[in-house]
Amino acid sequence: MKSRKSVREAIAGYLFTSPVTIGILLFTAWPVLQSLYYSFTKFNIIKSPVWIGTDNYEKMAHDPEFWQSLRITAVYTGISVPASLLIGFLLALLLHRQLPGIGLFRTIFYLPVVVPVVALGILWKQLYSPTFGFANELLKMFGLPPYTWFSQPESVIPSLIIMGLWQAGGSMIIWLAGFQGIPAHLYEAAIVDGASRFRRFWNITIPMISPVIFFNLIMGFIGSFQVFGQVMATTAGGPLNASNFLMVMIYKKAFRTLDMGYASALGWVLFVIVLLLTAFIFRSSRSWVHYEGEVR
Amino acid sequence: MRTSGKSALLAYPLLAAFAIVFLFPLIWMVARSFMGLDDLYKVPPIVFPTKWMANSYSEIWSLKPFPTYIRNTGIVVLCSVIGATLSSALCAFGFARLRFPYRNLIFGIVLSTMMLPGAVTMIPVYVLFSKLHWTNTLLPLIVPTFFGGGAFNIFLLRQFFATLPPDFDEAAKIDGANLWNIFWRISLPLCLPGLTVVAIGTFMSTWNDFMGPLIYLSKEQSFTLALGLYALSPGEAGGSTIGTITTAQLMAACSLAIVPVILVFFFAQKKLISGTAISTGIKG
Repeated sequence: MKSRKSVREAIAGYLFTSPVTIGILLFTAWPVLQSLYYSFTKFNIIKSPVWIGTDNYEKMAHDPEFWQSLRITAVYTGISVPASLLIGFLLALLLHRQLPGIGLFRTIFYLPVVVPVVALGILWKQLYSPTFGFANELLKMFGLPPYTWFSQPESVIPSLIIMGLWQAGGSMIIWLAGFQGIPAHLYEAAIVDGASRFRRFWNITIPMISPVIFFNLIMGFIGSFQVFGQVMATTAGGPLNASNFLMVMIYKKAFRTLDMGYASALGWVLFVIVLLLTAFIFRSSRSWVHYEGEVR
Repeated sequence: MRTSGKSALLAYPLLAAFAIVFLFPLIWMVARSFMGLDDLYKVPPIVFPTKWMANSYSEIWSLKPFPTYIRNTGIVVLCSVIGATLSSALCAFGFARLRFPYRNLIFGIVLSTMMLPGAVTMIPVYVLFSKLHWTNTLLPLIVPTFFGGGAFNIFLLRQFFATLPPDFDEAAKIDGANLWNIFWRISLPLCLPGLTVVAIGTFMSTWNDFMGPLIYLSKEQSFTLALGLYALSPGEAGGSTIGTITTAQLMAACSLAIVPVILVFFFAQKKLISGTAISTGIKG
């Protein structure tokens, strides 16, 4: 009778999980295959796709727009992910203590994260405005010359990075959860052994929190390589394509110029890059991520 | 990291300094929404208006069909919250409480979809919805949420269901309850904190969603609030020309769009933070 029971349980299991399995087939698996096919075609949605072999990928290899887009996306990711992790870490370090009013500060630091991206963009365009904005006022307060912010190609990326740092509260929350997960007895034992503040930080906090660093890095890189909303709501890729991030370029190719075959090829390249990056972090993690209770 | 009096003295000034940096843009936004024209275009700029004027908040309603935007956003948010919460709970219950062949493999595939860039599936899914003539309707933003509600939410709720003692199921089975009753009457109420996290997270991400509406909606009567704000902003594609809208009006519209998310956030921040802790595999 046991087998009949387990068959019924299995059927129930498939039924309960059917929304996500059907969803993945409809909205992930099938689209992934289709987009791979589109990437080898010329396709503008009005006419059916025409097979052109690897033309899209060859075009990409010689497309300066793509290389520039890849470069700025990589630069943005390479700076903004570590910088916002660091700021989030510092904020979490400051917040991780029992002081009156600490909850209020946590709320304040996290608040920018919940601001809708369009409002965020409109607000920061105002802050960065060369004449009526406050960013240059701030520089003036410190005796620095005004900066061009969103108005010049060379200052767009740093400006977007700074704007992104305003939302470092997102990683702060994950750091805080990590700190709270470190058992207090580790610190107590270290204090008994006479370990200095720095030793305790370096030999307890850092290894114990390394899975959080790992998680933050992976999610940060994946998110940052697909930066889109912040850019569309502020510079929309300009000036002079200086903020034409990969996702912005893909969106414009797909929905503005209706070059959906080329956009699909770009999407696949983005996918492979994200995959390689994730695999690289995973591989390296074996040497620096410490899991509690893991036997080595 | 217990705190001594000395480090508290050091911490407060630093915390206060950071608090000013993080709050200033929002304060400035609200303050500017109350400025008159002469205050707005003062050089150098001022933080607080010399005269507080609230007329921007009444003027914006005639600039764009905001009630329509709000209604559309409300429909999308309500349906998505129901869809995502219900369907992710169903799936999470299946993965946590029922045994079936390839369960872990399927769950692994579900999780791996989190790493898939939207750029890969975006175009074929758009083609699918446009073949169904669903563009310029809210359906492309709503219907997918009923299919699992996102890998992240399933993962989160699975953690909740997995911690329920199995005795409940056994006791209910002896009492003759079927699986649906065990799910609906027993497990679901016990997972209310998890469901709240999913519902609030879905509310925020749907309210703030920009890319979905940008891709699927091009007619004003189908716009959501995020897209409406975008269209309002001067210099954007199809946006207002500079001069037809004042900065005060723009800031007033932004402030209003932020209010609901901030309210929900204040109301639910404890739950959200603990939810993040659980979902990252760290005990909060």
